[in-house]
Amino acid sequence: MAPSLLARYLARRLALLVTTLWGVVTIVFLLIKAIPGDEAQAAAGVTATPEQVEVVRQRLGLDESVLQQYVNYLGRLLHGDLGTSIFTFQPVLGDLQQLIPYTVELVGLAMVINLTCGVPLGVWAAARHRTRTDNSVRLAAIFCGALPTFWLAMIAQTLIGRKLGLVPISGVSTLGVETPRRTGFLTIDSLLAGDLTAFSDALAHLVLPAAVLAIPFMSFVIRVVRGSMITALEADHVTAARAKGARERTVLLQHGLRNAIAPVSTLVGLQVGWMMGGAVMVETVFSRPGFGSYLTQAVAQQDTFAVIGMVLVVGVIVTFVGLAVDLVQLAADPRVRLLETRRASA
Amino acid sequence: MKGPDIVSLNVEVPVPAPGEDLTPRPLLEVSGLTVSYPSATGPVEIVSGFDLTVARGERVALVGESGSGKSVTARALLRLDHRASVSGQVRLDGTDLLALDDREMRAQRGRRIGLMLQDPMTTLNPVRSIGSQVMESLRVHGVGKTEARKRAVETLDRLGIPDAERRMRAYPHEFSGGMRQRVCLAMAIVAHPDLLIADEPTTALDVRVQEQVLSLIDSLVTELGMGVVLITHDLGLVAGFADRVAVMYAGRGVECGPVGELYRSPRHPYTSGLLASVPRVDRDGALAPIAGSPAQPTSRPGGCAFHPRCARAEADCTEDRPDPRRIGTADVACHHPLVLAGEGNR
Ligand SMILES: Nc1ncnc2c1ncn2[C@@H]1O[C@H](COP(=O)(O)OP(=O)(O)OP(=O)(O)O)[C@@H](O)[C@H]1O
Ligand code: SF4
Ligand SMILES: [Mg+2]
Repeated sequence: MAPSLLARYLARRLALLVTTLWGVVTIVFLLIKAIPGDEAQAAAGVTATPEQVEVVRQRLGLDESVLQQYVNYLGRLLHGDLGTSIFTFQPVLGDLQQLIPYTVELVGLAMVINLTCGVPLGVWAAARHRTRTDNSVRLAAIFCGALPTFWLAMIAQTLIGRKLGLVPISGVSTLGVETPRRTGFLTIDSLLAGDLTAFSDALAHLVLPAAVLAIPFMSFVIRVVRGSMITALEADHVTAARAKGARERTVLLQHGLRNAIAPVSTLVGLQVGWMMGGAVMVETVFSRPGFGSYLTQAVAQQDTFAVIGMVLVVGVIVTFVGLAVDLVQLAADPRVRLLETRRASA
Repeated sequence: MKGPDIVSLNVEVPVPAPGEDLTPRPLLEVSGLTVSYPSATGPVEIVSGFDLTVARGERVALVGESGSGKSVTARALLRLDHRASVSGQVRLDGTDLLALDDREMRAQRGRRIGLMLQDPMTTLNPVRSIGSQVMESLRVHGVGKTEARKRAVETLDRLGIPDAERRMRAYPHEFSGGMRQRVCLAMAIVAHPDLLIADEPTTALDVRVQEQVLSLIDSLVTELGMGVVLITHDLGLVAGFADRVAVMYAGRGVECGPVGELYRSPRHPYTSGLLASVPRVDRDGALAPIAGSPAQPTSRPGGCAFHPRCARAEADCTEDRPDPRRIGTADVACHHPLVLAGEGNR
């Protein structure tokens, strides 16, 4: 794609991204307004006197028209003000900034496990299509996909954590292991501090929940990789590659997996969002701070701003992942480039 | 051998040692080639005892109706289909191809035998650049990147791709059918194989492009001293191209001989039927398609597979399978071949 067309494509995608976020924000706002009950009463607490509730109502601007509230709300968002949590009494943004790294670390490692196990297994099954290997991998994939995360987490804790004592089963670090916080990511910060003990401690706390989170997702990756590879491997260009004298490995990677990048990246993009959802459960079972604990509290406390903040942050992450996926496809498939070039120059 | 504007393709012409037997050894000797595929009801024999010889610099056309097993034969010669069981003898320059191990066989593919597959629309990988796919034919045999690029550009240029240097970066969808066919030809010959097998290289193309592609193949044979097997179901096409013609029916060779003889006086009833169904400039009269439909591999008639459609069939045709025997200049597999006036009857 020519640079000017690429610039136009990016501009179009960013505009789409802003529109999407605006949509998310608006829907969240409308949902809050649709919740029955008095927001001012909820914010002031059940024990508040009617006078106190009125004070809170004015302070939060809830006495103004809905439209004015919407405009105020958008204005605050633009300034990065996500409101104040009625539970922690801290700005929601600050709370989230502390918690995001834990969840991102968990989802990140889960995604790494998901792909480093799922992709090779899918490739292996496709290469052995219609053999016992293929059937076993496929069955295992279906089985993994059917395991409830909650149950898997408990089993993992009992077996690997308690019985075998291989890794810790709760929290994010061992008491006494301190890491100076810079990015908020324990693994990164410990490496930045050059503290390998802290790093391996953080990783040990991370690996079991990440694996538990990854397993059901792996099931889909295996199946999509396998399926798209089998389709790709039946194509004539694969026979042509063999006729050139290519090794089986070259054929599998250059003419099979190479052609499966587009469908697999679509799936992975969707999975990032789903994993954030799955992380809530895993974090709760493994007693890890993160989106899960925060969201559970926020919902239980009717902490409106906290819930909005969470939804927004997840929305932003998912939208950016979507953009990344589109860029990957743009790089991987010239036919997508052609389509986008046509659109950009239309 | 080359004009001033033809890129040298660096051919080593073998010089016979003094005292060496000068009767040329055929480049390709196929005898009793039998190919069967597994199916739910047991193995199905697609090609049965097929014979073919090709000398260096010789153009042989392999002709037959759709489904007669031409493409299966081509793939079997390179042992491309691991599901097929191939028996008989395939000698390339004296080397028994069916006796080679996988690695040795890979070394033959592309470098000794180039295969151009049937469909130019699917023979190219849609997500990889033209250049990388042509270069692949050399790269898999250990040719360095720079050298491979140089030779790929030279070959594309030689095959009439305008602006070849720049077009190396293009993708298959940016090429017309005729141009893709040239790219497929380039992939097959860039490593200068001794033998080119071209499977219906012109079917999808319009007449003018057909002629261009054929004349390109023709000039390459002269230039590189390659042997060519041109697979087609179009007898009209081979008249001006081939030195010899092998006719295939239901997986068996039915007649094989020099093109002139075969056109003038076909011996096998099937060949004569095929010729009668081809429009010819040297003959008026209505076209007469062969009655009936081709035998399916799963339900091939016993004896001579052609007997249900043959006007000359007699009782022995339903029982004994005719073996090829020499009649005049041709090898004919028929109990009651057509004979010329003055020729002794059987
Ligand atoms: N991989 C395969 N497995 C099983 N049967 C096959 C396979 N490939 C081809 N056949 C069968 O072998 C027979 C001959 O097929 P082939 O493709 O060689 O025909 P062809 O002579 O090339 O015809 P066309 O002119 O249509 O290309 C067909 O009946 C086909 O169904
Ligand atoms: S062997 Fe018999 S049936 Fe077959 S082609 Fe000859 S005459 Fe016809
Ligand atoms: Mg064919």
